[in-house]
Amino acid sequence: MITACFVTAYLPFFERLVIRRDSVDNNYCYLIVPLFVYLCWDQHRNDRNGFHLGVFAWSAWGLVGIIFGIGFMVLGELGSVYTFQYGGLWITMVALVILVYGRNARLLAFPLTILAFIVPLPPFINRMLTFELRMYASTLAAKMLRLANVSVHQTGNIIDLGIEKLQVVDACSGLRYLMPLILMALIVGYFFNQRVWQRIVLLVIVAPLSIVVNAFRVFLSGWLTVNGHRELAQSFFHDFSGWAVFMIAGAIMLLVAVTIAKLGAPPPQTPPPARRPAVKTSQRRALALSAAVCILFGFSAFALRLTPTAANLPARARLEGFPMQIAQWQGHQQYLSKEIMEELWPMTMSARSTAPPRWATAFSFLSLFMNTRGPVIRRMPRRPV
Amino acid sequence: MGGGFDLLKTEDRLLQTANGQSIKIRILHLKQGSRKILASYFFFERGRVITSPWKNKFYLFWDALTKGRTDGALVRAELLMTPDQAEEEAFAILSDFIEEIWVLLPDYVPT
Repeated sequence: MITACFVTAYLPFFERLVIRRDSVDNNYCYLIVPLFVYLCWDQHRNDRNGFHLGVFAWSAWGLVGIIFGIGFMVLGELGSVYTFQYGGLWITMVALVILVYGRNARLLAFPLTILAFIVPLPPFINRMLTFELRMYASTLAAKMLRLANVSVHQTGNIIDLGIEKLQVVDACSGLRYLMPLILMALIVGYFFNQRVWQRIVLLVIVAPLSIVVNAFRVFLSGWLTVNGHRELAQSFFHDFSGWAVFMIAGAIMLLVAVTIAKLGAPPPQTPPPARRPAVKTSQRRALALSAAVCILFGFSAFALRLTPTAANLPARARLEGFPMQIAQWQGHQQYLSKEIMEELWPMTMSARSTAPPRWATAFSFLSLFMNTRGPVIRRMPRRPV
Repeated sequence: MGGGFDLLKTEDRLLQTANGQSIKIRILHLKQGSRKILASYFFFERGRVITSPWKNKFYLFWDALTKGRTDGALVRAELLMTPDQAEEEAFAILSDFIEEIWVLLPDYVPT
């Protein structure tokens, strides 16, 4: 009931999460929630560490966490910071588990960590990672091509094959593999490796693995192009190789996990920590906490919807009427492409370029006027490597 | 950077506008081969001039709560420099232009 209340109150958040996950870079995220549910069920069924779904131990501390989580969501919503929005969503979900299971919630630490993958990386980290990975993958692919006797010239992310230039674009940076591979490393480690160092090894190989397999993919593209299979490299192969290369990476990961599992003996079996006896919470307490949480969700979501939108906007002149003559500069109007408009989601926009007397002194002046609470969906173009 | 331009330097500079106000704008020095662009931007949001993206986020949140508004604008002006143009000369032209549009902005962007 609480979950239903949470989902209903914050439906726009969940909707946006789904939209965001729909992009090709993030569609692995569809797996996260089913995976979380499965892992919880697995804990329950196998009695791995004494967790039982039906044993409640209501804790008011969860309420504190929920307030904290909602705070983050509001902060993220009003400040347009996606990481805060979804971070808050995750904190709230963790707090809900604590509310219902009390201290036993720590037995669900692993599934809750997996659930954290619904939170997108902050854009600046994303940019940094993409840039670095793209460069490494380009350099490595160029080296592989040279080893295969293909003469190439590499400048940044452009690999010049002579007959054609390959551009290793953001979408092909390997970042698309990085997050799913980290997820895979965690899960494989959880099921196959008992020792902490073994799990760390799996996590450490993720970054090099994603660079190597991605560089291999670029290399194959280049090799096919040079050997007269240009169409193949650009069409079927591009999509197929993305899938195949990920499977190879997964297989390597599994192989490493199984190998290192044999290296170190499993740690001595410690008896699973005794489950804390279900604290006798009266039904009244459970009901009171549930009601408090539902009211909290309902109230905060309602308050958030009351907060401003563009409707509170003071009167203003439309940017279309912006003067074309500014001092000695004469302007002309340009329109931004549909793609940019979709990406920015502005209410109105004006882009002007003013051409002054001297040929080389060209201004461009752009003024955007936007409502920051519109949905901004970044979509990576699907383009050949 | 988009379009293959490298970002050489970022700095904040003060401008004296035509109506006597002093505003701080962010200047970006961009270069691609022999082409140089002197770019500038500032967030013009609910009467505030902001250059830091962090402050921008903070005031978005703050003004949403206190003023009930989440609108805002980003103003960018870019100057394609001539190959032999000195930075100071380019900045003087750019700031002239911004000073001219500054007085026009309040009609189009609510303060």
